Amino acid sequence: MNLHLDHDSHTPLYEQIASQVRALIAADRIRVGDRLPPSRVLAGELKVHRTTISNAYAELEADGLIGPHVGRGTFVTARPAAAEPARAAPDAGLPPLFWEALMVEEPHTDRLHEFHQYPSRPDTISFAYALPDSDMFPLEAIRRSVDRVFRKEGPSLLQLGERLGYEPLRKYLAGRMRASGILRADDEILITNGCQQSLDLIDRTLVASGDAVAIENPTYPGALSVFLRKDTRVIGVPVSERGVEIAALEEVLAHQRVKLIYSVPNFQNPTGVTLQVAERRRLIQLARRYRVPIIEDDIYGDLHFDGPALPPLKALDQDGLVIYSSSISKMGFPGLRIGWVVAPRPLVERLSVRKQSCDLHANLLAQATIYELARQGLLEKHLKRIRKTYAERRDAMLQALEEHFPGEACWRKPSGGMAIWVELPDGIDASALLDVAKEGGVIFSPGAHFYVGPPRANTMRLTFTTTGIPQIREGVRRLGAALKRIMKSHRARGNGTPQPGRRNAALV
Amino acid sequence: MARDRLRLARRTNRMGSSAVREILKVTERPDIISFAGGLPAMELFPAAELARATVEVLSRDGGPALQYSTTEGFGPLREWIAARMQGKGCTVTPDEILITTASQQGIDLAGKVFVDPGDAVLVERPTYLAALQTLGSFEARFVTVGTDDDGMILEEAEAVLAREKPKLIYIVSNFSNPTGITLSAGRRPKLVELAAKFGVPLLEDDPYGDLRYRGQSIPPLKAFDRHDIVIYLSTFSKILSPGLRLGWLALPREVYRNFVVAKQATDLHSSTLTQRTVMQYLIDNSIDDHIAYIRRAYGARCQTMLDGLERYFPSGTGWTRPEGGLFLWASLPEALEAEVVFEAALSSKVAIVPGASFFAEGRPHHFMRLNFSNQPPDRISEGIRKLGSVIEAEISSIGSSGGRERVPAL
Repeated sequence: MNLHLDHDSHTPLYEQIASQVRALIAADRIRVGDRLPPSRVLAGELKVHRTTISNAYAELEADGLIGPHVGRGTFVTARPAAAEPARAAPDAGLPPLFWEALMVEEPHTDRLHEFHQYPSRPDTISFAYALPDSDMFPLEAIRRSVDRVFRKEGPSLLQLGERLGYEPLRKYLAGRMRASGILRADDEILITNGCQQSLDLIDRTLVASGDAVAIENPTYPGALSVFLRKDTRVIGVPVSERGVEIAALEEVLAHQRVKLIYSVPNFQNPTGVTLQVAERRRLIQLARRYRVPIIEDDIYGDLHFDGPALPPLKALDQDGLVIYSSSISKMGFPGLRIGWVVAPRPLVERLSVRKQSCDLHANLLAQATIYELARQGLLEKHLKRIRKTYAERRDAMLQALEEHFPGEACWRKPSGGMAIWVELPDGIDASALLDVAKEGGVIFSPGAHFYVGPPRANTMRLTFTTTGIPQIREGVRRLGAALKRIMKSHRARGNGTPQPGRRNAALV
Repeated sequence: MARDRLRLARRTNRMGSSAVREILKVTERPDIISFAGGLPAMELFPAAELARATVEVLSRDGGPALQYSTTEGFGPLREWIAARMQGKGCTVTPDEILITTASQQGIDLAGKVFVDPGDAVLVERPTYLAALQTLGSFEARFVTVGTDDDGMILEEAEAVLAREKPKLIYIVSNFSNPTGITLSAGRRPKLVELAAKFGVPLLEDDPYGDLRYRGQSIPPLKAFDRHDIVIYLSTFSKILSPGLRLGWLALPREVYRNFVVAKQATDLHSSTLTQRTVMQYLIDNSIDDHIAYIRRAYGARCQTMLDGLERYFPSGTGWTRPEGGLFLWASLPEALEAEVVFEAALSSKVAIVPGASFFAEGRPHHFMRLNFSNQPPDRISEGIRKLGSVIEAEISSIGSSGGRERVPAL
């Protein structure tokens, strides 16, 4: 909101604000039903104390012009009695557009973004992001594939394509998905711009205003950025060492009408935990009993280090309740933005109509390139290579943690994926640790990013995929040193000895 | 049954399967002369240049090109786009550019950011079908304004703005889909001022602006935007390739963050490789030479179609005379439904799109959209000749006023 405050004036700031807002309402620039910016936001914009805004709003409320709407903010409820809208001349002098009132909601779901904003010094070692290692990309193979694809069918790949995706890639994926029991006779595959879009399309298709979504807690922030809207409810279900807690989920389903369950059963982000087979069966039974579909986000599924993958939820499901989502992003090529959904045909039909209204179809050249890689067996070869390297890096990180972290911290060995979840001693805030660690040249993701509702501040996620083993050792050493410093000052502030985290209960 | 089991959200049910999509499926058969689609001509894509650019990017920056990247988009590409828009008179800076997965996504993001169920959105009568579908998926309530040869009729727009207080105004400013009509230079500043007066953002969809075959170029609405209320969207689909799915938004500063957040939750970012490939193409080639080349080809096709209409269409019909773009809009005698013409034409192996779907309300049935970009000139002449005789036969079979003068399309 464009207000101009005169700090030298004798009129108190809150009165200046109130009178200018009053004028905007009188001039019909802000209309009845419009939302005013939250006092926090406006205070930030005007660089005044939040109380000043609260006082101004209180004044306007006393005038009967605005009123609070629980959970949604402050809204204009009436126009000042005197004035008819004084329409400004179409020429100069128009006040700037009051965007705040026009937009559906303020961008509080900025989960992904805040997360990618760590400033860092040049020699910083990053354990912050769940990325594939770009040094391992099979560039020569990809270059050859792109070249071949262009020569074989260049112009037709530059034309608009099918909304379900590039047919040869769909066939290839169908073969793979059928082999692992994921694709059933009445299922269909839709190719998307990655798992994020798959979630977005599923949300748009299944989740209506007022609906509730049950989600693992902690979870992937991108899922929260989709499901956590002003008009939906997200119910966090705790994760423990066997995966999402089935009993807790049942409790939720028994008492609330839930529209959708979101789960990452393999090497869950951020905890690294894998849902065990018995729990998988129980989860399916629950979904069946309460008739709630499950999104199985299997983005990390191919990155299994210790033996073969467990059966996917989709393969255990006889009732068409599981919507399976995966992508090539963690396998290696997130920049191509290609993922896919496997689900019963009527749902995929709807998802594809939504996909079409969003952006018509996924990038054809990228789809054809991946197909070409897969056709030549290079995708499988690449997978084998990264599994081996990532497993070595995981082991190096686990070993370094044993070496450099104090005994009060605890963690668990993930059997795949990209990250290790660490619980710090009670009372130690991972965000505070990050501030110190940054200085020391190492960054990670504080656990707070991943929680629905109040976070466990003493948790953190360390990814091991993008750094070589010597750097992993050095980074964990730096991190251990920072942690010890923090714990020392914690004790010095008279907080007593930090209590050890409950070993093997780090996730609850 | 499955629908019941999955309990689809209400907003999904409004979409349905589009009749036009079905039509397009039929008309992809090679034996059909299709004026139905809206595709650029495949033979004009710079496939070899794009192949070279892709390989070059992979050789030089393969790692970053295949890795996750920022939602806002590839910096050099945003700079290039801003400079190009500045060249068209827009005061736009790179940090106001958001790269999108083509312009369809631009419309979708605008819906996500602005449209709550029941919110009014002002559109032209007729307007771009996919915009109706996309904004409709957010349960927008469409309020409509008529169009004449100079584009949106502003007196009507003003009345609708005053009455309906819409959240957005959506307009295809140049060579509109479906009509081929361009908002005149005289109306542009007035429309911007009108939007500003009523405090309504203006969503300017400009995919065809570069495809002008005749007449003077007109700056985009964004160039007249003194109030920072125009949300401009465009694409590389028509000038390079639609399969790449790459476009952009030029946004008012105040809403930039909201669009970034919406885009991030939608697909994180657009393909890194594609963004870098297009940038490499733009460095190594003259896009303006390429645009001049496709303009010549499409311009000739447009003229061929206009000549054919003049020659073969019976009286009682009318059509627009676009100065660019991919489409023109033709009218039939009111008693003759374009759906009937569609069926009859298809048995003569010619395809058109009946115009009713392009109307958010009212839905008159005596219009059709004709695309001229995707057939070579000789096929265009032949197709229009066949279509003309189909229409003539239909007019005489309904005993309609064959003797009337030709009427304008709008």
